[in-house]
Amino acid sequence: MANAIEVDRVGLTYGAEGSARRVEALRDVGFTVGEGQFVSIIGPSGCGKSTLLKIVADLLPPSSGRVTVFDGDAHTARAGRSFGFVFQTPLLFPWRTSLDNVALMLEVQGFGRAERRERARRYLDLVGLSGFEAYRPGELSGGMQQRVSIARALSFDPRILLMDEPFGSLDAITRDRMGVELLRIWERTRKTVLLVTHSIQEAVLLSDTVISFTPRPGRVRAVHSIDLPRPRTQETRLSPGFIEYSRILLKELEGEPFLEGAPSFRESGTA
Amino acid sequence: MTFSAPELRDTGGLVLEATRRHAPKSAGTAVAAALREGAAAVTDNIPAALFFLLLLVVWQVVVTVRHVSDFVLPSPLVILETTLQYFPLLMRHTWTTTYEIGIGFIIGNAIAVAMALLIVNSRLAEKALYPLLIASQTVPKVAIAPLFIIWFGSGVAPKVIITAVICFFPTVVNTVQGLKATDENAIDLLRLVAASRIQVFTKLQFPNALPYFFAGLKISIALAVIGAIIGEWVGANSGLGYVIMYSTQTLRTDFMFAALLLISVLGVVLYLIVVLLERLFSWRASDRPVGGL
Repeated sequence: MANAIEVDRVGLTYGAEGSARRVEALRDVGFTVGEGQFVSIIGPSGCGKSTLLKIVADLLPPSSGRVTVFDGDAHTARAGRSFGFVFQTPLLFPWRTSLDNVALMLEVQGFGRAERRERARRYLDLVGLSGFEAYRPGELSGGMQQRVSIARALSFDPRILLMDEPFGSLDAITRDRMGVELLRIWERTRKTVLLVTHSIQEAVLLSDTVISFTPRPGRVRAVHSIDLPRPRTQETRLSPGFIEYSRILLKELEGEPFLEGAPSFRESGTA
Repeated sequence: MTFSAPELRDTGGLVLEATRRHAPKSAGTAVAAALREGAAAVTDNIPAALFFLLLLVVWQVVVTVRHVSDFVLPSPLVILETTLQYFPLLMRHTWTTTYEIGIGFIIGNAIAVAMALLIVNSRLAEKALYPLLIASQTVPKVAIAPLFIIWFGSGVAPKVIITAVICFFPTVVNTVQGLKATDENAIDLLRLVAASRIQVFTKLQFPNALPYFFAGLKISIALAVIGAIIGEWVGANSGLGYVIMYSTQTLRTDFMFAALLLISVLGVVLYLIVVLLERLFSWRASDRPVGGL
């Protein structure tokens, strides 16, 4: 299997050298994501997961190391519109309807009006929002807004989908439902997905591979292959295999203090 | 591809998740919506209107019972009578003032937008201009208005300039704030499809700033009315400000009140025009979904 993303000894440090506010966010991060794979990154808050996603998408330059995407560099990949990105917040433009929000990316690329609308309609349908084309973000629930945002990320058919805790701001029930919904979408599109999440359950349910990170500076602690049969559903959450993987990851993430020197943070930590 | 039952149920549950609070909107219905909101605003303001009417009645009764002279305080009915009797004359003056306000408002806000764009796009311009701009607001414009008469004569020009100088400030401040309020992640989103700087501006920064801009315009139009009146006070031979000045000097207090009435009506009408423009061209900050952009 060809590699879609290759992260090679990537490090990122904020702040000037010698400055008191110098923070090392990532150190020597390395892993690969095969084409068509669903890979999740899990780790405590502040471990640089989100930052890493931005580095992969060439939205942020790393301090050291390099990212290879389909045998080219990340910059070439971004210029070639290889990345769909779903942010933590839906980030919809409130002055646009759902349809126009999805069509935005195509508009920037200069697609004609008819094609834009046809494609946007198709992707809204894919995320289960047929009939909501004319709604504005303020008229949609949080879960629906994030669906629109997923449709927008897919609208220009990028080869890779990067997701930064996309369901983090949703309630637990909606969140579980969105996870399964994402699986369904992924099975239909077969994009390469790199997902950043706080949720062990989410990571296990969705992924082929789960990469766990250490606290700051973020480093790869372990890589787990999740050998659960697909297609996975809500019921998969109840299977012995799912529970075993969750247990392993929970132990792993609990094993280390949440933030060095701040053990009280542990209670509010992951899982 | 097959889907298992739970997945189908999930998709079905979506309809419940939907909040069908509003019907879908289209640009064509914007005017209708504005009219509906206008009607709602009228209903909302019935208590205020009734209270105002009560004040007028008290005013009328006090003036009549106490035999107050017209030049001290004319009764509402006298003011109405004067307004109707001299309506054509008053309208000519109203037109002068409207004209000054309109031109001054347009010039002032054109400069305001240009300045805001400059400040947002150039660090140097921001550092050089912004502090001076804010400091300049401590200068009492009323006090320097006579200077404009000296510089620009007694025609329409000095009134337009005073209006522009007074009304441009809120627009600058609000537009700068609006243009700076762009979400970094939203910019990143557009960078993913290699959007140009101009596209980032037209697709994101500009529409995002519109509610801020219109908030500034609403303050600006109120100040523009004051600006034109000040300009006319200092030296003019027509306009409602001139009518006020002239009638106070000749003890035609009824005339002064008639002019005041027309200024108020003019101010409200101009404000409503700005509100209508906002409804037509801008989304509203209240449309922003919870959790920001």
